[in-house]
Amino acid sequence: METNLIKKRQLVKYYLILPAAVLLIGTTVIPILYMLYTSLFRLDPVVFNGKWPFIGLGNYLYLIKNDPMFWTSLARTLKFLLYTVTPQIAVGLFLATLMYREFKGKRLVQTILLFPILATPIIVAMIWKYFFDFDTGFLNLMLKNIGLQPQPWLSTKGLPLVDAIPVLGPWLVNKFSLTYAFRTICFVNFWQWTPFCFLVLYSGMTSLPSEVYEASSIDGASAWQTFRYVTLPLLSKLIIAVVFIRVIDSLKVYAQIWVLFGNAETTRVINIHLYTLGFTTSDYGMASALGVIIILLIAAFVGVTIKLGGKGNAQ
Amino acid sequence: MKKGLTLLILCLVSAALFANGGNDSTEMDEGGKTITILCVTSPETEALKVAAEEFKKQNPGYDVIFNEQGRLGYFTNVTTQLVGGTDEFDLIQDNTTYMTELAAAGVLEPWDDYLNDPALTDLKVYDLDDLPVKLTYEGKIYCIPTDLSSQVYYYRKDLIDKPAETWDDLIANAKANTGTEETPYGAVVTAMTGGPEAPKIFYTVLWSYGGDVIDENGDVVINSEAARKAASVYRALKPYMPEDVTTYNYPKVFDAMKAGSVAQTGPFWNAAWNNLQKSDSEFKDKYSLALIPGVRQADGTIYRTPQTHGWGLMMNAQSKNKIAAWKFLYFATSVEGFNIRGANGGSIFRPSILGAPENAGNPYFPVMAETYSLARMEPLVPYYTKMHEILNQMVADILTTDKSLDDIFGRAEKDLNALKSRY
Repeated sequence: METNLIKKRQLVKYYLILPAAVLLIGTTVIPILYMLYTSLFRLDPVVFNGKWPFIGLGNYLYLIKNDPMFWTSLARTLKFLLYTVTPQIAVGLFLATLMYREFKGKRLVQTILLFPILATPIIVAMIWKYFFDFDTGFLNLMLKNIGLQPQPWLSTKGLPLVDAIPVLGPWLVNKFSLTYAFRTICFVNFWQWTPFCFLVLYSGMTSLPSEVYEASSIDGASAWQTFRYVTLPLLSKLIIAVVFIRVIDSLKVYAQIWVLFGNAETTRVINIHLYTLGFTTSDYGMASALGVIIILLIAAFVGVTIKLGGKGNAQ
Repeated sequence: MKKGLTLLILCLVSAALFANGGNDSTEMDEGGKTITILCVTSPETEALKVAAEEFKKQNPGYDVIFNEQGRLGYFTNVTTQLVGGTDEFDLIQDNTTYMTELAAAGVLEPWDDYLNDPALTDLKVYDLDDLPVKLTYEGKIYCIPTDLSSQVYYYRKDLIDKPAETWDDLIANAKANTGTEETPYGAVVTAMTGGPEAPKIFYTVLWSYGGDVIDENGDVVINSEAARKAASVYRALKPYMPEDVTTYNYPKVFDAMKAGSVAQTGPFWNAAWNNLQKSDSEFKDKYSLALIPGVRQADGTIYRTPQTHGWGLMMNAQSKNKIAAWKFLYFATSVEGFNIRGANGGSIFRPSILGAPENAGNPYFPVMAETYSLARMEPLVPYYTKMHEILNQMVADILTTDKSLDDIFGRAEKDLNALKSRY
């Protein structure tokens, strides 16, 4: 009797998580499994004749071998990741270090710094789109007013300093996406999400134990040495967490690029290609296959980041 | 319990058989008199609604319901609903270029039986010859557009004395009018990739040099001398167009016209003429329109090939009210239907109306009459939207890179062949 009661009590925890588990499975696990299933079929309205033909890995092979946008958009996504996450973390850390000191008006600066993350990405991109317009944009009007040439911020032209390098310039522009358009995309993302990195890192800094700073001060460590050998190691776990969040977020980037350039081939990243396959060309099987690839890609990045985090902890 | 279960199964089987039988017998049945149209919010739909009111007056007892949706995701919705086998809609308004994909999927009803039934269609009054565009798939008509869109040439008549007749004229005019006090740009074309606009404009230039993307045998023929000549026109125009020309879609080119900042645009959509006339732009009277430029032939004539596409109503193969749906299709695309829609914002392309004496005073009508007589449609292939992906990449490469034209068209050819092999 008592054993039954204990068993029942033990089951309670499972009953309590059941609603959340059902919701999670229903909205995440089942759709992913279904996506995996549909990626093995030719889900293309043109060949629909009452049933969808099973083609095994055909969609995956076509994407890898024949889809001209697959590798291009994948490479662009990885460049986007590199060009946005790296400066976001670096500048976020720099701002956090600055804000760690006391100065007059600190609260006001902190509040202003947080404005960008409060805005919706779509609205942010729309505002910047107007700012960057060649003929009527605010930036070019300012440049004209101070006697400088307006710049084609939204064009796919190579950045002048790079493009002007003899022979190597166009190659660099092409290989590293050093165009105005891509810089604009990266800038908008940087502008919106650097404050997030700052916020998390600053919160981390404020919670660090003051004793270690007192000790380093007594030992005569310089500001740089304190940062390099005290702050940075203590923050490493948090930095990895921020990298982790930003990497996933950058791999998911969609709205900002969509607003700025739609699904133009010249600026298309992997998620916009996924949308195009699914909702422009109505090739649902191919879109499912790409969806699976994206999930695997994100999982790989997450795995690497966690592993790096683990190593950091061990050290 | 067992008895109840048996009875239930019997009922379900009977219901299924009855439903199946019902489907078969409705093939050419009168059906209901309420026609439901899945349509997109647009000026064309507004014009269609006015025609529907007249249709209801002339056909008491009939009703036309417009199930209107926004443009975002509309085409996907149409495809998904039709392929999913919906019978909620009798008619579907769609861009004509998507017709082949839907016809190939077997979700559209061909019009031939209705057109050839004297009880339903008076061919003398309907005058099929007065309808230059009929969309066919495997020899059957699936749509006659309600509205057509084609391309014309717009120029600032206060700056350009002689409108461009050839692509070389266009380039020369562009050069003379770039960076002036009046116009920063000598020319602009819709070159925003990712959508259908950039390939459609490229077709117009390509065809005029005798080239094509897919020939009549279905072979990929993009890697040609004609394509290289067409691309050379783009590259020659590049210095006289905005540096961010690949962000120019219809609204942006139209805005440039409204602001008077572009000396000429073309090929550009004919819809801009009426939109400009209705606008409050101070430059609306400074623009004129003419036939698109082309290529001068040995006999001195100009070979022009404006691309055309349109909106049309297509009949759902699963519709339960096919006869009623046909009656409305017949009315909407009749001379009367065209006149009603044309007077209410729809586009007119019946030559008999465009060439009518009462329209001779408006420069738009004679230009459009000639444009439609020259107009061509893109190859109606089932992989149309996927083909645009490749063509967009090609146009982007022409305008934004220094890649050799051999490389660009070689790649396009390879990609198109790979795509074609799937169908």
